Amino acid sequence: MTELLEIRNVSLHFGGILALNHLDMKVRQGELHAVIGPNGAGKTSLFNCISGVYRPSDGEILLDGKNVTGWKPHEIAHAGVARTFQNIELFSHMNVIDNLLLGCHAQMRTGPLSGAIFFGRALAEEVQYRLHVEKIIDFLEIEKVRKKPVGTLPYGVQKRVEIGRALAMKPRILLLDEPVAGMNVEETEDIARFVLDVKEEMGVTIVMIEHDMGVVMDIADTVTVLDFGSKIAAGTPDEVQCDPRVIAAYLGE
Amino acid sequence: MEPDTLLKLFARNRDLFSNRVALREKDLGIWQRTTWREYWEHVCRFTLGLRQLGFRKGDKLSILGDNCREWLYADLAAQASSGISVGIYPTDVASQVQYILENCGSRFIVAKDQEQVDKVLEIKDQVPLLQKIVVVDMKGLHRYRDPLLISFAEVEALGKELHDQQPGLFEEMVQSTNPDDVAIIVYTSGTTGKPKGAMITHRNVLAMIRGLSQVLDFKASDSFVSALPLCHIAERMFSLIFPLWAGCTVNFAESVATLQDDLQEISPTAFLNVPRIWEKMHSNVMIRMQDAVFFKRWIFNAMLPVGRKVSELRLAGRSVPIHWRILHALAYLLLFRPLRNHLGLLEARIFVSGAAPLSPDLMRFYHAIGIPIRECYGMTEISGISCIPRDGEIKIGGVGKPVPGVEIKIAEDGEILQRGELVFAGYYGNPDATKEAVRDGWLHTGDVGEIDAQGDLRITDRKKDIIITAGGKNISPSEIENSLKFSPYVKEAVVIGDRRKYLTCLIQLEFETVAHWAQNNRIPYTNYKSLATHPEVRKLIQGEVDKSNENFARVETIKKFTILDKELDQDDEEITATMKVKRAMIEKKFRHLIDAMYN
Repeated sequence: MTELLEIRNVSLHFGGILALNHLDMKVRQGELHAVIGPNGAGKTSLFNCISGVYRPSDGEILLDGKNVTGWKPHEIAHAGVARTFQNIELFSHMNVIDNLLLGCHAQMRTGPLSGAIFFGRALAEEVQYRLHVEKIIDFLEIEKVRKKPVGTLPYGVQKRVEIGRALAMKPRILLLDEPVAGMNVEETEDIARFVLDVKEEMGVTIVMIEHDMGVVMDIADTVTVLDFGSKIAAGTPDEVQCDPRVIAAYLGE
Repeated sequence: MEPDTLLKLFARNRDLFSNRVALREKDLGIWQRTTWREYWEHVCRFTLGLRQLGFRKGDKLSILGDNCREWLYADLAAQASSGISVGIYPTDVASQVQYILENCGSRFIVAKDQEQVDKVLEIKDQVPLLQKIVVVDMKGLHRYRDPLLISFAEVEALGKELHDQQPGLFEEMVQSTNPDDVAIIVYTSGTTGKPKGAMITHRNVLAMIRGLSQVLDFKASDSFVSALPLCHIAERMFSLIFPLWAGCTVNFAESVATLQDDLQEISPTAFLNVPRIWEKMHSNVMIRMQDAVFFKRWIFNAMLPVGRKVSELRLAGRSVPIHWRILHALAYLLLFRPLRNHLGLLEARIFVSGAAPLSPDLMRFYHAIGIPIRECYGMTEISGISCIPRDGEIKIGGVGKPVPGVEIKIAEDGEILQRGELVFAGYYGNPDATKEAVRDGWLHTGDVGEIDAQGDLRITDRKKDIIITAGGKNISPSEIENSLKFSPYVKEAVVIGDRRKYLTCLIQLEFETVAHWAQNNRIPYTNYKSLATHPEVRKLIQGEVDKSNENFARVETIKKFTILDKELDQDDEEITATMKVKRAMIEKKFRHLIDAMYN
C-alpha cells in the first residue's frame, strides 16, 4: 500500500503554546488510521492542519505525494479531503437532502448563472448529484428522515447525516473527529459498521480521532498516539495497547 | 383450459396484463416499477438459476427477510420448479430459523440482507443439509467469504445462461406444475408450542380464490401495500395470490421505518391489517389530537359523534335521515377526509382485519371515520380466509358468512368445524397433528363460536383460552383484553383467572403514549421500567381498567392488575412473530406476579 497522506515534521504554535511538536505520521491508501491521545494532545489541531484551517508553523503535509501545506480549506476539499466535526456542524434548519447536496457542492461544475436557468447541463448535474445523495441515504439508512430539518433529529442520526455530508464530497480521505462520542452502545455499533463499510465498499481512506478504545481496537488498522503534541507511539492496535508509554499517558504514572 | 396452479395463473397474467405495473418498490427515493412481463422474466431467470444450482422437484426453498420484490420472485420460482416455498419470519432469532430449516429440510435459503445472513451463518453448522444461501442485498457483505453465499443477481445470471440455451424450458416447467402438489408450507405462529408447517396445495389456493372472488371484488386497477410479513398466509394472499388472480399492483415500502409515509404516497385501494396495527393507528390519532390546537380538537370532538351516529344507522341497515346526511357531508370535509388522507387510506375501499379479534370499540371508531373494516375469520389450515362479511352485511363482532366452497358447523362443545376444498393437506412431517386437526374431513379449528339467525359466524375465543372461574362461569378473555387494549395506554393485556376466585390482568404499557402522557404531566422517567413502576402511571391505568370494567358483568371485571416492568419480546419467547401472546409461557414466567394478586 502506498502513502496517501503524509505528515512530515509538522509543528504548530499558538503563541508560546506548542500544539503539535515535530509530528510525523503516514496514512496508507485504504487504511483506517486512528489517532488517540488524552485531552489537549493536539488531535483536533492535527485535523485542522490537514484540512487547511490552520497553517502549520513548520513542516509539510503531503497528499498523494503533493505538498499541500498552506492550501486554503476549499482547495484541500477539492483535493479530496472531507471531514466531520467533534460538535456537529450541520445546517440545522435545512433538511437532510439539502445538507447532503451541499456536500456535493465542491464537486459541481456549473456556475450560478446556469444554475438559475436550470436547463441542460445544470439540470443533468443536479439529477446526477441527487442520485448520489440518495445512494448515501440508502447506505446510511436514513430514508425515514430524508425530508426532516436536521435540527429536529436525534443526536445519533445527526452524526450519521454529518458523515453523509462528508461522503457526498466523494472524498479520498475522510477525517472523522470523534464519530461515536456521546452515543449509546447500539448507536456506537451502527456507526462502527458504517465506518467499516465506508472503508471497504467505497474504498475511502479514513483518519479517525476517537476516545472509545473499544471501537478503536476493533476497527482500526493502525493507531497513532499523541501526547502534548508529540507522537508517543504508532502501530497496530495490539502493539499500541501494550506500549508502556501509552499506558502511562492514559493512566498516569 | 382454466389455470389450475398459481404458476399457470401467472402465465395468463403475463399475456393479459403484460405491460401493466405488477410491482412497485421504493428504491433510492423513487418508486421503481416492474411490469408483469418483467416480473415473469425475473421469476424465469431465478427459477432456472436455482435449477443450475441443483434445485429439483419437491425441494424446499426457505425465504427469510422483509418483504421485497425478490421475496415474490423466489416464492414463485420455488413453485415453478414444482418445489415448495417456506417463508420464515424476519424477526425470528437464529434458533427459530434453525428449527424451521431442520423441520422442513431446506437445502436452499434466500436471505434478504446482512442481518438475516448473519443468523443463517450462525447456525449453518447445525444444518448440514444447507447448500446455498442466496442473498438479495449484498450491502455490508464485502468481507464475507463463506462458499455457501451467492447473490440473487448471480443466480439470475446463471438462469439467463440456461434460458438462452433452452428458451422453452421455463414455460415447460410452468405447464408441468400439478394442482395437487404442495405449493407453500406456512409455519403457524405457535402460540402453544413449536411452530407446525401447514402444507397448502395449488388446489387449496385456487379453491380459495374461486370462493373469495364471489365476495371481494378485486380489479386490475386495485393496489395494495405489502406490510405484514409475507410468510403469513394473510399477507401471502394479498401480495401474491390476489394479484395473480386479479392483476392488481403490489407496492413495497422503502424500509420498515418509512412504511407510514409510503402508505400515504401510495394510498392503496385495499388494506389488510392485524388488530395490533389498527390499535396502534387509533392511539396515534388520539395522541395527535391531544396535542392539536384548540380548533382542531373541537372539530374532532364535534364531528366524531356525527360519524358514529351515521355509521350506527348504516350498520343497522336503516336509512340515514337527510339532516344527518348533510351534517355527515360536512364532517367528511372537515374531519374524515383529512384524517383518512393522513392515515394513507383515502383511496381505499376494501378494509380487512384478521388474525385475531378486533375490539368492538375500535370497529365503531373506524366505521365512524368512514373506514368500514370487515372482520374476517381465517387460519393457515384453511388456506387463508374462510368467513368474511359481504358488502352491506358488516356486523360489529361478527365475521360474516363462510365464503363459497366452505361449510361450517358448530360441534357440541361449541368448537367451529370447517370443511371444503380449502382445507390444507396436513402438517409437514407430523401426521399425528394432522389427524388431530382434520377428523372425518372436518377441520377442527380450536376456536369456539356460534352462528346467529342470519347465518353469520361469531367467534367467542380460542377453545383452550376460555377461562372457567372457580365459581364455574365461562369467560372469554379476549373480549376483556380487547376492551382494555382499546385504551391508547395499553399495548398488551393478559387476563388470568382460570380456576381462580376472580379475574386479574397483566398489562404492558404502550410506551410511546404513556411516555408522552408522562411528559405532559411532568412525571420524570428514564425508561420503560421506571414508567411501569411509577405510582401516577398506576393510577392512570387503574382509571383505564375501571373504564373497561363498566362494559362487563360483575364476574367479568378485573379485580386486580399488575403492570409488567418489561416489554414482552419475541426473543424472550413471550410473543410470537405475529405479536400474539404465548399465554402458557407468560403465566409460567410471571407466576410470582400472578400469585401475588391472589394473596
